[in-house]
This record gives sequence, structure tokens and C-alpha cells, in this order.
Amino acid sequence: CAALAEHADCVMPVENQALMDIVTSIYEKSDVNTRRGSALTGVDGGVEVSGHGGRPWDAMNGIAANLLLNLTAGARFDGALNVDINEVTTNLVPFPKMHFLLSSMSPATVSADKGKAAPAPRTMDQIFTEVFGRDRQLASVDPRRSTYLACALMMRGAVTVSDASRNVDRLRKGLRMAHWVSDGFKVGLCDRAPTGTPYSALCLANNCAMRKPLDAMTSRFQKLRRRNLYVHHYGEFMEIDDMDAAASTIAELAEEYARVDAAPPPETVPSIRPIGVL
Amino acid sequence: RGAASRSGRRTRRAMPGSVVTVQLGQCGNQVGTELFSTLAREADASSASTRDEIHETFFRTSQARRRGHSSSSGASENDAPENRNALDSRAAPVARAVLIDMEPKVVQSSLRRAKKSGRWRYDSARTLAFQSGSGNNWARGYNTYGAQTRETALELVRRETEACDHFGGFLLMQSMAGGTGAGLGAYVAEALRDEYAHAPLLNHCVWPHESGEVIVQSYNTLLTASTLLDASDGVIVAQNDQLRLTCVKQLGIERPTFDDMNAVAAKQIAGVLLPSVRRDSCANGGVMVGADAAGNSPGVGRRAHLLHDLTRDVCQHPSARLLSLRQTPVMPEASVDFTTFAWPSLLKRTRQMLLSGATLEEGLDWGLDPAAVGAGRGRHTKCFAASLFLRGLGSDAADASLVSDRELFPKWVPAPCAVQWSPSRFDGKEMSCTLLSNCQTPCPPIGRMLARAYQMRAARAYAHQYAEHGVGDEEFEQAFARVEDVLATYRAL
Repeated sequence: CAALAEHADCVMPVENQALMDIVTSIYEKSDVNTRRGSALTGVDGGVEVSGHGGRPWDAMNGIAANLLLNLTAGARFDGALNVDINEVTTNLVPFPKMHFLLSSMSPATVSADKGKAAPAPRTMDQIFTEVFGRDRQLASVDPRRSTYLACALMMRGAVTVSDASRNVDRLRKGLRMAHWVSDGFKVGLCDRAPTGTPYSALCLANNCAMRKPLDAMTSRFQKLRRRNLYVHHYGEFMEIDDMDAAASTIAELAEEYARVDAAPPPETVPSIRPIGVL
Repeated sequence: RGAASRSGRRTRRAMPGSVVTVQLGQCGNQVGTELFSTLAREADASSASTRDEIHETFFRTSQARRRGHSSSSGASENDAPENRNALDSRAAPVARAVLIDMEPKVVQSSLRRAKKSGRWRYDSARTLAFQSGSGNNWARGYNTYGAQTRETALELVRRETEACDHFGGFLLMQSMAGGTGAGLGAYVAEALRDEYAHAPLLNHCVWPHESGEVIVQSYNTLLTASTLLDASDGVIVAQNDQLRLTCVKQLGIERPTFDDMNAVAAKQIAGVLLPSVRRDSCANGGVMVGADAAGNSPGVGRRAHLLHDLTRDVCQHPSARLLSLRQTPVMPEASVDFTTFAWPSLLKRTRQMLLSGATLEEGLDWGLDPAAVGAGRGRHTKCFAASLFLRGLGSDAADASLVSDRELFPKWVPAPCAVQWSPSRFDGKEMSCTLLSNCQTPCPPIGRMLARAYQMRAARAYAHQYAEHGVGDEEFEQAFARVEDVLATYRAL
């Protein structure tokens, strides 16, 4: 994680716990798992397994795979407003080190069973609402409690620009945005919807809530490091100082997020006054 | 003179100037394609001489078509598109355009759309597309890609201008919020100004939705505006929010797509670029009598020369080059048959749109007027100069004094409102009216954009992304200063 903080342009962490929560909630809502041989998968044409045990990681991996598909759809298909990965990095990374993005998707999965009702079809506005709720985030955080530094919405399917701006206007009021990014939404529109659903939304947000996983990572590390547990295994192949340096990088990053989260808007903003006209 | 001989060959008369269009970025290419479709459609719906003029100005017609004209085997002058398809598809007129984008998808789809229409096509040799895209980073478009593409882009433009018999100027279509259209577009505008110092250069720039299309749009629009206001002769600002409202309120489209909005924008530009005749104020007190369609009667107004007349009429001051477009009537196609048109009401609505600062006819404040007293005094939108285009029945004789009223313009401008007319119908409407004005309408959005850009700058957000490609504090300071200067010029009106 420290190496990624140094060298990567942007990082999209996906937490297993979050994936599991999403998969569980979908299993509960639909009765897909009662049929023998059925499976939930993120991509169409899923694998037939016996019972609902089978390969339990399939559904979770499917969601992560869907994330990648939606992310690259703008570069692969035509659309009214193309977005490719360069634009994601430019728009969502206001400060060089703070490039850990929170992703969320709706719908998260589609049912591989043909003829069986997929989890209830959503109206378009509902899709927008879901990506900002805490249920569909791919990390176990609640983004509404922290400040958004930037937000990108990548829509696929029959979504027009007026749908997007209408929903952004509606939902923006419930979000805490940084004071300097009042119009901070990046919208991408792709014509081709994912298989099995008429439209979908992927939200990538640079949100200060990401400090929670970073803090958790640091505290778990410190628990082991304080007692020097397992350190000798790592000491064979690397310097222990490097490990400590990595830990402090992550701790600093989490502090940076916390600072920006709490920063108040400045009293005055410097601007240029023209002196003399015509 | 100007009459068709029986073999269909035209007698030579002064050729209209040709306009070379450069489409930059996704938005520029999409709006440009829509513009050429509109021009081709209007050409096909017009009389033969007007169609030839439109084709000469905006398209290159191939030799096969000219041969078809002069043969007596019956290829009629009003060839339906179906007949034309039956001829070689290479015979379709080719747009005088250069298409530039940093990723290939949009250029490809523009080429496909043009060919599918059957009426016209693009020249696939006049395209420049890279693979990787600009990433919405103005600095990357301007510095990095600008330097890389300069030679090729200028070469493509040179070939296109050399194909013109009589070159009339450049029209650049771009957006202000993106990376390619904004950054590379600004670079290309400066490069064209360097290479072709005397050619008129008109930019059509799309202003993004204020709800946000791109997060760094404040920076990108600031940098584009400051560059273009120096390099270009005129910058038409088309606001996405206004175009969307026009679609919703006047065309009754509940959820407008970009295609719908592009169609509205394209019709507004076409209303200005299609052939017209100037009313010279010296002849008959501004009212023409007995003018023929080609406007060739001596002593009566001459044909409007693109783009020179446009830029000279409306952009007389170097610090004041922001232009807006207004058009009326705008209505769904189904309503056209049920509407009666009259010049006085059209001109009155145009006048009030100008005074209210709106570019659509909804919610006009009829109390705003230069002659108002009390609270309403001085609140109307002020204007440096304007150019009015009347198209359709009786446009030669229509009384335009409501719009060319001297009260609307500053005293020191010698000829503030030019009036042009054309007997051809526009967009199937019996009468229509387009106004290109140099007025305060773009100022409020620019002011809001500046405020947001200052805030972002104070927080140092995205500074590293722009500094990586050579746009640092100094460049931002200059850009802020330039745009503040221009705003001050407009606010002092």
C-alpha cells in the first residue's frame, strides 16, 4: 500500500468484507439461491454449480470484475461523453498522494439464471441513489459522513446527459463536498449497457472516508510490530526500517485525509482585481 | 448574368469565400458533424443557386457531379438524395473540414455518420487521431499534444485551404471544459493565427453544464478563454445549460441528449453562416426593392462575405470578442404548419431576448428596456454590436429597427447593427431570425467560473497535474488577469 501511495497514479481498493456484505444482501433479497444449480455471477453466462455453496468466491469476484468492465467501458465502446482512464486520474486526484478511490456500483450483480427474476429492476433515479448509499460501496465505509474531494459517475446504457445532471443536482445536497469543488462531478456516458441490465452506474469517489481502512491497516500492523511478531521472516529479505517507513507513510496519508476532511473553508480567497479599464 | 443556360452550366460570377472548419475534441467533432448535416440539408432544400453557394462555401464538390450537371442527359439540378446515391457515392460533396481528436472513436463515428446521410461526407484523409486521449488535462492538450501535432495539423489545414478557390476564414469548433477540445484547440487557434495572420478566425466554444461535466472544468475554461480571447477574432460561447433549456422548454423534449442539444446549436450557427445579402443603409433607407435571389442588382446590398464581414461587424474592440447566438422561432417540427409567422413579433421577441440576456424565449422579462425609468433602468443586458440575419418570406422588406435600435448600443460604435437577409426559408420555417451579438450574456457564467477557479487555486487542488505539463502559477496568474480584464471591459458598458 505504501508503494502504491508512492508510485501509482490512482488506486481502487476493494474490500472483501464489503463484497461479502453485498453478495449476502442480494442472496437475502432474491430467492436465487433456493434453486439447485443456480449461481450469482457478475458476468453473464455464469458457472453452474451444485447447491449454493460451490465456488463462493465467484460472486464476489464477479463484482470486482464488473468494476473493471464498467471502468473501461468508456474506452471500449462509443458514447455521448467518453471517459477513459486518463480522465479518471486527472479528475479524481487533486493532490498527488491522495489517490485512493472509493468505488460503488449499481446494479452490483446480475443473475445468471435465465428466466428467473433478477433482483428487482431499478428505475434510473434509483440507480443514482444507490451508488451514493452505504450499501453498495466496495469498501466498508460510509461516504456520506466524510467529505468528498471529487466524484466521477460513469453511466452505461440509455442514460442521457439531462438524466445525469438532474440526478446530480438532486443528490448533491445530501453530500459533503470540499468547499473548493462545488461543481465537482465528472460524468461519463457510454452507449452500451452491460449484459442483463438496461443501464448501470459506477461511482468513483475520492472521499476522506478512505482514512478508515488505512487507519485500520496501521493499527493491525502496529499490533504485530509492537511485539515483533513474524518480523524475522521479513527480515531475511528486506530491511526492517523499510517496513517501518511504509507504516509511517500510510499513517501520514491517513492524517492527511483527516486534515482535509476537517479543514474549514478560508475566510477570503485571493483574486486579481483589474486596475483601469479601456 | 447569373442566369442558368439550358445546358445547366453556371455563368461565372464572383465566387463566395470558402470557410474551412476545424473540429477539435469529442464535442467539437459532434457539433461539427451536426452543423454540416444542417448545412447539407438546407442546401438540398434551397434553390439551385443558393445550393451552389452553400456547397462552394462549405463543401468541395467532386468533378463527377459537375460533369453530371453539364450533361444534357437529364441529371436534373434538384437531384434527390436517393438519385445521388445511385450515382457514385464518391460524388457526394465533401465537407471542407479537418477533424482532430486524441482518441479515434469519435472521429470514426463522425465519418460514419456523414457517409450514412448520403448527402455529404468527410474526407477521411483530413483526420488526425491519436490513441490515448488528453485526460481532460488542458495542459496536456496544449503543451504536450500541441507540440506533437503542430506540423501534421497545420499540413492538413494547408491542404484544405489550398483546395479553396477563394478562402474566407477558419471556423473552429471545440468545447471549453475538456482536454483536447480546450487545450489542443487553444493551441491550434494560436498556430493558425501565426500561420495565417490575416485570415478571420472564429471559434464556436461550448460552455459546460454548471452542475459539472468535468471536475477541472473551471481551470480548463479559464485557460481556454484567456488564450482564445487573444488569438481569435471572435469567440461564440454556446452554453450547454441554455441549449438544454431550449430543448426542454421550446422543443418539448423532456430528457434531451447531446444530439438534441447539438442540433439546436448547429441550427443557430447555420442561421448565421448560410448565404445572405447585406442591407446597406445607403440604398433606399435600408429597404430593398426588386432584389433578386442572388442579390446581384446593382446599388442594392452585396452578398455577405464569410467570415470577414461577421468578425468585422461584431468584434470591433480587441478586448471585447465574446459572442452569443439567439434564434427564433424554435419549435417542434410538428408545430410549424400550425404557426403563423410575422416579422414584427419575431423581431420584438429577438429584441427582448437580447435585453434579458437569455438565449431562449422562455421567461423573458418584458419590463427590461433601455428607455425604462425607475427600478428597471439600466438592468438590461448591454451590447457592443450585433449582426442580424433575417431569412424567409419578406425578409428583404422587414423593418428591423426594433433590433437595430441605436439605444441598445454604445454611442461611440459607428455602425452597431448589421442586417442581412435571404429569401430562402431556413429549417422549413416561413420566417426566422438569428442574432449574433457581442454582449454581456456570457459574463455571469464567466464570473462564476472565475470564482470557482480562484477557490480551487487557493486550495492548490490539481496543481500537480497541470504543472506536470508546463502550466504553473505564472500561467494561471496570466490567465486570471486576462479574463478579469475582459470581464471589466464588459461590465463597464
